[in-house]
Amino acid sequence: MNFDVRLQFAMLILCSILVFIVGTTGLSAVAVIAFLFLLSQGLIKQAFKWIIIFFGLLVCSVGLFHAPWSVLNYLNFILLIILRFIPLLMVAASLGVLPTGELVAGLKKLKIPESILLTLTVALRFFPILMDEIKMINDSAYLRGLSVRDWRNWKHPLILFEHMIVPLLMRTLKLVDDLSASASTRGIDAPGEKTSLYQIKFRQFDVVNVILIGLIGASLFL
Amino acid sequence: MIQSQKLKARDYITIGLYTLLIYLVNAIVGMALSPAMFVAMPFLSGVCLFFSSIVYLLMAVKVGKKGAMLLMAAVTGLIYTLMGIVLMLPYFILAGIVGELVLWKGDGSQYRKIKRQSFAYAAYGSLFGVGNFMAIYVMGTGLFEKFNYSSELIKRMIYFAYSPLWMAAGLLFSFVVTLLGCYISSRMLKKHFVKAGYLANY
Repeated sequence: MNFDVRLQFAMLILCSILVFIVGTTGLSAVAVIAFLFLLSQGLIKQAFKWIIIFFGLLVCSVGLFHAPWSVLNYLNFILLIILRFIPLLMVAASLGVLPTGELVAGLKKLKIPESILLTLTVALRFFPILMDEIKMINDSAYLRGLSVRDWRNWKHPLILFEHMIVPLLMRTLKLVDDLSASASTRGIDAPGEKTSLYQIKFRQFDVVNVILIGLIGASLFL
Repeated sequence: MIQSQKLKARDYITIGLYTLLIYLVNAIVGMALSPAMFVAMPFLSGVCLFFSSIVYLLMAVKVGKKGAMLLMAAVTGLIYTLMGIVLMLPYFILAGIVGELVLWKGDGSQYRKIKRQSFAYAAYGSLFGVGNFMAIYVMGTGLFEKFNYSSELIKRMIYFAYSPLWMAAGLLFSFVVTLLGCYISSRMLKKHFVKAGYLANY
């Protein structure tokens, strides 16, 4: 069972502001709350996966923090940025499993203009698909000895970039065509008010989310 | 063929997808370049835009209408907002409007001209470069101390942010490098996409 889309978005935005202003203790608190957030929605596997990654990296970064060498210090700097993003990814993961229709219906209730709404949903939806495409292109480049994994190819970064981006753009051209054909057969350009199959209402279950939002706000004082 | 100048659902989908791709390219190149932050931080975003220019040009020529640049900027700003930097939304919209102004003059065919779009993206890009420092101007350095940045890096960032020479050089560098990126990208587009028939009308 999922929480209300609007509440999930509130959670995401609050969380994304908080991860940049809290200290390390606060960050752990935010991660634990995001863990509860996933758990209460029944996304148990993802919840445990992310929380283990988070605390694993946290332990690494605390270990590195006292390292005397500057190279390791630099590594720590990257690690800390990644660490900050994990609670965000956790909250976003629950938005990722929502059906697109429900996402759009929920956001439409917030009176976001349709042009921005449509563009943003496509952008958010396509993230995993693009990642898959990149992986596939990289695999076939590997077979031809042009992969990014081979350090020798890095001697010509522009050519390497060309070998990655051109197939990707070709694929996205195709994707755009498919997607807009499918959208226009469903009447996305039709004038008039559009209705949705999904009813967006606050339910009793959503109280849990409100409590979690309160808790996450409180982590600011840690 | 007479085409309507208003954006349709198809254009929204195109812009959404390519905006994400531009964001991804910028993020990956930015990550790869982050060791250079100590040396020349104001120059980094120019290099990012050098690589993402091919995606923008393909999108812009494919959509070819007013508002594509602004919508791209707004959605980029929204992605940054979801990642926690709410401040970036108005700033990106401003940059998008500047880009649209560069494209404003003309009879409507200029939106399909790679040259004009290159200048627009370069104008957007030069503002994009300074965007990294907006957070410092508005929020000060307390933010970065909590972020566990090493004090050396914070000192360096403040030095860059408050040195007018570095900022001006950063603006100029972003503009020129983005333009150069657009030039190389247009060559690449000609080589791969025009030949394959994907971009017929340009």
